[in-house]
Amino acid sequence: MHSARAVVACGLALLTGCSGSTPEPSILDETIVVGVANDAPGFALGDLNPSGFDIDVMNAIGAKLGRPVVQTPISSAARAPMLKSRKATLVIHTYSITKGRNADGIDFAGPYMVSSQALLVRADSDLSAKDDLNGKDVCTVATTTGEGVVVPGAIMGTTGTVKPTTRECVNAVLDGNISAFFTDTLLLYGYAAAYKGKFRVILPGVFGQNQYYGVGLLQGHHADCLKINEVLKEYLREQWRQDFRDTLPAAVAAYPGNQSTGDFEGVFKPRDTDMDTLSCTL
Amino acid sequence: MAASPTPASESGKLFVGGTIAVIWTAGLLVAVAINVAVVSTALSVVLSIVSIAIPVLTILGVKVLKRPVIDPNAVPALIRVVIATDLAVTMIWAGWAVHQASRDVDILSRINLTGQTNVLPGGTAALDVPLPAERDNAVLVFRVSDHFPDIGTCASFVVLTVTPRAGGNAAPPVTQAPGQPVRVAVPPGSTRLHLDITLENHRDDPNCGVDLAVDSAVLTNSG
Repeated sequence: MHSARAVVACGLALLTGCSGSTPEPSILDETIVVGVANDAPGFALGDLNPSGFDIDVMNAIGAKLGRPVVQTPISSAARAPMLKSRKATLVIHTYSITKGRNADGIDFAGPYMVSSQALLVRADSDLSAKDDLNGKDVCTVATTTGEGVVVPGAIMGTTGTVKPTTRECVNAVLDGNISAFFTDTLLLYGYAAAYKGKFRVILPGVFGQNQYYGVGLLQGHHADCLKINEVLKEYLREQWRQDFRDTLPAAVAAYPGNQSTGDFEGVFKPRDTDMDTLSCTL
Repeated sequence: MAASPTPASESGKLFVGGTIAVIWTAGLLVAVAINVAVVSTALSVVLSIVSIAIPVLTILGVKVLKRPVIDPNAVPALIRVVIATDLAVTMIWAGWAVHQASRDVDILSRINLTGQTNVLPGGTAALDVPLPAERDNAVLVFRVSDHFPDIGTCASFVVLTVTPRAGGNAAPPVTQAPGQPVRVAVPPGSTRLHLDITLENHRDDPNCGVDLAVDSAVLTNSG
């Protein structure tokens, strides 16, 4: 497919009278600016020295490419705008690979993580089954894949025009202002670990689809995308399991490897075919 | 004493006979063109026999009359032309009939597909189609697209298992990826084809809903 793309590019170059093809400029030759979260426990938490799985992935990419990386904290809503304005080279921010984002000009390397979706409730909540959610308020975050999911019987989102952030949804559940928060299971396990004993994660995988977290980059950098894929494949083989254990202990505890849950690696680690199927499509 | 036929009247008979033969030939051509059903096939056979018989009878008539006709040298040539035309048309018809009996038949527009929207892993859609012709196989190409196209990560993990059913009995299933041709045997004498299409997601995502469609469907004797 890539050779076909090259043939087409050469054909276009000939048609337009270009003297030769210009090599695609690499975005990985200099300091790599990476957009990350700073409020996602388990993935990227903290401003000065953030820590979490996304930060580990960022550092692995920098180390394996031999390039310095600089992180810049961004919100979920700012992920695509930061890439488009070239203020960030890459975005590593629990950023799900989707066709909609591809259509918006965002390409993805990866995935480096697979997560189902679930609900976060207070630890003392009596919500535990699907039917319990009938008539309950469920918070979702704008510009995330959770926003479009409908939990049957529940009142999704919030009233009014203001869309809450992840932190606002978590706080609303904590304060008892809303019954549940719906988003990616692993994000919720991150919050459950950060707020020990305050929350429970319920119904993982019952609503919504699997989310495949990728490394976002602007379209038109196919060679760079493939280069990051190679780094991620190595990372998945050598480092993924240990980093997951270190950063997402609540998920490890929830998937200890028994017959009913399976091992966390079997559940959340991408397969080789995922990368071949989902990434570097632009 | 009976009046003997004049050369003009014999010429007229020959002309009439020849004209009829040519008209039959034209009729045969029309029949060939519309030869898709049993009735028109039978009609074509009858017409071809008649179209050959008429010039032959015309020749015999001339011989029976034992009289000189318009131009003795021209008659055989004229008759040869008519017979050659009929033979050519008959051969074309035969070839066309064979082609019609073995060509691929597009059945896409006849397909009735149910349960094809937001099919979850393990879910089944049903395809039913009346068969307009008898062929050995049906070859179909299915297309799977994400029910939530903005997410778009489901379709690429889907595998189809197609189980043909005839008279309540299931034939061996065929497993194939979307976009690849699925070939199923059509039992002789079948007037309908029914397929159960089960969609599996090899990424184990229970909520991955996809929409199923048929891109092409033909009946064929090949393969």
